[in-house]
Amino acid sequence: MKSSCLKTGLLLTILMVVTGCSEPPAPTEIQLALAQETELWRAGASIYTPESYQQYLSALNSARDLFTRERSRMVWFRDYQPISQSFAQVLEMGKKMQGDVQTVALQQTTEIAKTAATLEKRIILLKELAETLKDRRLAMRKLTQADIRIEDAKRLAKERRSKEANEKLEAARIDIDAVIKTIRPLVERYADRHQIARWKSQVDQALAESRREGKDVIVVRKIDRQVTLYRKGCRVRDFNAGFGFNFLADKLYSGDKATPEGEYKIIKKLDNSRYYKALLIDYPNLEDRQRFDLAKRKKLIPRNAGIGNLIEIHGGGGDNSMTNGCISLQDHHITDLFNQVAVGTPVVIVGTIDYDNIIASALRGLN
Amino acid sequence: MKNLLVLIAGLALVSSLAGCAKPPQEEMNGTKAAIEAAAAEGSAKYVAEDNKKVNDEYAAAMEEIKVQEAKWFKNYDKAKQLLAQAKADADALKAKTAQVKEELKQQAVAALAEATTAVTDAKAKLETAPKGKGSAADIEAMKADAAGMEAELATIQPLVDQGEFVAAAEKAASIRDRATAISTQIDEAAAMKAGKKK
Repeated sequence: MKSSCLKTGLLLTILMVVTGCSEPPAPTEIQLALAQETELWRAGASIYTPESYQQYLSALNSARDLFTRERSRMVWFRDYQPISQSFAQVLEMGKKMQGDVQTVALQQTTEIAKTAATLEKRIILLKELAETLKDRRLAMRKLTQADIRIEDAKRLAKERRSKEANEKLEAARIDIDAVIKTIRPLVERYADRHQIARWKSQVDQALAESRREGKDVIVVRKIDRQVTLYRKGCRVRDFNAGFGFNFLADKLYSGDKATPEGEYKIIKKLDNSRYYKALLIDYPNLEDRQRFDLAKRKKLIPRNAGIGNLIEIHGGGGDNSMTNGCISLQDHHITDLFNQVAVGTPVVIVGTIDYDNIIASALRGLN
Repeated sequence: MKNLLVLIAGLALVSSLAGCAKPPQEEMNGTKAAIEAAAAEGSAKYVAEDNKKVNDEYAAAMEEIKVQEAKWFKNYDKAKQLLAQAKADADALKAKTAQVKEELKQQAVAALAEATTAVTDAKAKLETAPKGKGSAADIEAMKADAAGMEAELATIQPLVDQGEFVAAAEKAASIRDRATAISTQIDEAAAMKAGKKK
């Protein structure tokens, strides 16, 4: 009996040693899950889907804890089946997350790119407007700053720093809006249909009078940078013209570098002007004086400012030239105009007669 | 009976000796300190991939310690090996972080200097640019651009100070290119004007 017990014990011991010494292999899902976690981290799961990623890590850590516990057991009592299942669940969870991370990353990147493109479009519009109109007040440093901030935002988006990228875009948007807010009062007259109708009416009346009385009239359209000579209501010739640095504004006082708007006439022909030849107009007229007095009373202009004078159509210029408020033509054009018109010829200066002018369409784009 | 008592005593002695093996606290502390030193240097920011690898190694070593802690017969040899490897990698990580950081910092500082020079040059050229009536408005626009660049240039040094070297370098490069474009435009205009005079 004693010998039989000893034999059984010995057999059991040998069996346990033989079977127990060979540790069962760890489930393959473990390495797969660890590799998957690294991939998720690389893909930016903690940034794009932080909550899901935390849940995923939690599940992964639980599975790892299970595995740790199982490994602490004696070799022959270990059962990796539940571990395998836990890691399989983690893998499944991670697989779904990979798709989610890609979707959210794409959404955020697309959203940032879309916002950046919209803001860039507005900057281009504003810069084109400034370049076309050549009004110094449209050249704003804030636009360049906004442009640089958009570049920053794009870089941050590439680095998966979407929150900071959006903050940069918001700063750029504020800058652009500030520029638009500043320039809107300067340019909105050119998108105001009532104002354009008034300018159109002034031109139509002048042309009707020219037709009726068989006289000449000079029409100046500031936005188009055009001076047109009409005779008996018919167009004779267009001349490209340059204007004041602040030509978008209606001249109000001396030194504002704006070109006046209104109905004038040539009061003097200067054959030897500082700018080749010149046609002096009767700025300021009565209406100009009334506006000036009102602005002075309302303290809208400098206290010591005068109303200004000596507004001419002169030579020495061209379509890109800038003046202090006069209208400049190329020398051979002023010669032609000078030779064709007489003192007393009406000169109508308007912003535009085109309802769909560049400013109106730019403002539509900015809106 | 006597043999049984000897056997029990022997087993108790072996088990108590094996069970008394303690977790390698010193190695754990050393490795943790090395990882924290690398983190303090900015490893997560400048060498994120390496940083993660070292942290994963440390986590694996800690898991091994947990396994052994729960065992009757504890053996921390493997854990010690893992900790030693993690510590060596953490030390290397710290050195690499410092190196990468310094390189990026030098690049950012150099880029900032280049951008500052480019903006200063552009501004100086704008002051002496040929001012025809036709170019006055363009010069005004370019001056506004240069002013915008100068304003943004002032935001780069704080980026350098915050350790945002890549951002600082890229922003500086962008400003430098914009300022250089202005200088080139002015040089071309000046050359054109000089050509016309001839």
